Amino acid sequence: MRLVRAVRYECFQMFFTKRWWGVPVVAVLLSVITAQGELGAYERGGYMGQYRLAFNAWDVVVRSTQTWLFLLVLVAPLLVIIVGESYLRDRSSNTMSATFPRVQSRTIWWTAKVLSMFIGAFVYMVLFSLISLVVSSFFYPFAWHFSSFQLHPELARKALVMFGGDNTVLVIREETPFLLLLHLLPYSTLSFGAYALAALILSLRVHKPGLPALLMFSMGLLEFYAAKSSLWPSLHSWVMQTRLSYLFVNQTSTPFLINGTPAYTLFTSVLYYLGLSILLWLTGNGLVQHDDL
Amino acid sequence: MEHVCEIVDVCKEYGSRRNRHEVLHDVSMSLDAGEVFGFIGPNGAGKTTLLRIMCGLVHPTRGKVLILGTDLTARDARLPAGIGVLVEYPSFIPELTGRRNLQLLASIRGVIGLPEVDATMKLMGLDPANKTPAGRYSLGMRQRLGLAQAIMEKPRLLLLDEPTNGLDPQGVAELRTHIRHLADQGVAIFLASHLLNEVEQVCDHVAIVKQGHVLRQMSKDDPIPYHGFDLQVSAANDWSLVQQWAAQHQATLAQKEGTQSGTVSTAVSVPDALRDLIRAGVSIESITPDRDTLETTFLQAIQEEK
Repeated sequence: MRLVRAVRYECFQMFFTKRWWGVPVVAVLLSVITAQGELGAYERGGYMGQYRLAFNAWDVVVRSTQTWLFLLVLVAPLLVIIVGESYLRDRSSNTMSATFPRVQSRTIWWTAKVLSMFIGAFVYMVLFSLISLVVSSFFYPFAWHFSSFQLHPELARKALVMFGGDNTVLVIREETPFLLLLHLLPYSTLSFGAYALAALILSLRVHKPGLPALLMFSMGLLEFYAAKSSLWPSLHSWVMQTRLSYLFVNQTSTPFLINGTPAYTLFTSVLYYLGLSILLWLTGNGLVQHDDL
Repeated sequence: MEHVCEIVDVCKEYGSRRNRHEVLHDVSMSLDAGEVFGFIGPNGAGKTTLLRIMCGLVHPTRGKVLILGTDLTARDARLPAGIGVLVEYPSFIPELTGRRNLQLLASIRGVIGLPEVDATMKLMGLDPANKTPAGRYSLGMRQRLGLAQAIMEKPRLLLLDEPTNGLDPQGVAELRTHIRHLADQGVAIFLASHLLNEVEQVCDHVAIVKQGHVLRQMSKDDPIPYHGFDLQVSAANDWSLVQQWAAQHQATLAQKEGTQSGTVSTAVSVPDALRDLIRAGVSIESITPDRDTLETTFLQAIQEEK
């Protein structure tokens, strides 16, 4: 029971911070970039009409929440700033002297922090998806189903080839957008929760606010560019071999398929993230027992 | 009898093996129920570190810390219930009211409810019906709220770090009364401060600390060194009578130039000297015993350390 009450207090502390205003800002920004940039360019090319394809609001939602670059350099680091820096906020605001004597145990304190990371990640993704959906509705019509572009990947691929880009199409298995969200939210909660937890563990040793988020951001940026570039061959090969971010945000366990190639199922993904989270919890617990708080 | 708090040869070091920085060095003290222990020293003396060790946030490098019968240095030790802590500049969830903040903190242990929260707020001079968010509280109000959170669950050990920070003179006087009242109820209180006057007035035991070293420990019951008295008389004739008295009692006189006053160094107590001088016909304006105060002891200890 004390654990539940400690989690409740952690959540109150986490949700009552002005940093959450960053979510609408980033969600609006990414949705507008997606709607006007990528999808807008396809429409302006004129090839969509040729195949009687059209976008709707869900195309924006799916892309703004699933584009790798967005996830690694904006969405995930912002989550670290809002949720993952909870311990650093405790340290700077002196609140631990009031909470810790009440929690009484380092293990319970740490477990409460860990659980609050996943709750924070869940709320973050729900907010992000909802705001993205609302913003998308200003650019494309809202519908209860996926767009024709999404429902006819073969035609979409042909349109993209004519457009001159690569023919990579995000194929979604779910029949309706709500089923997709139903699958996406637990996956995102676990993957982003684990990501925030990794930053939290980092903050146990690196006590500078902003630094864990900066490190995670740099990791994402480095991986993105090193994977695409061959400027530094050794760096490129190292990054391609390690791909640290694969641990968190690209372990494609969602129902998504890239060009029809299946990756993992949601079930294996949940198992994977549960395993990873337990490993991170154990690592953090070991540090917390040994370190000064 | 088991002490509420016992600290034995506690050391705390920070830094790498090559660059060790000692914050506390062989600190030992004990605190029983109903006692107030003052830990005084300049900023950076290690007061807050010791307090954080006592509430389980910091591990000592060496030594033993027994709090309410629990050895905090033991492996997998749980902090016992019954510890209230007020740190310097306490912080709360700024968007919530003081009452909601206390209610949330109290809900972690779940041993008290809203009536106790309200009663503690009133005791600390705060209005439970005040809807102002805690983030807009003045420093003094925040300090009162901090003290309310520390005492609301009726702790057996209360750890206070610079509790008078931001309080007005009336608030400081009220706090002294609260501290004595809590001690009378059996609460053991550890008070870390750099304000000598504050410590001297409420503490039963005092430790003077500098750069992690306890220079001196004193108790309220220890005899206070007495050096004589400062005296002011009405006329020059009176001063000659004082000189005669001093010669009879092997006392040393140091007259302030151009005045009928000075310091009398003697072992004769003030009441005895006063009786003799009045009997001799001296017209006395004022007489003040020259005793060691916490301030003189503190300055002396710091000077000796240098």
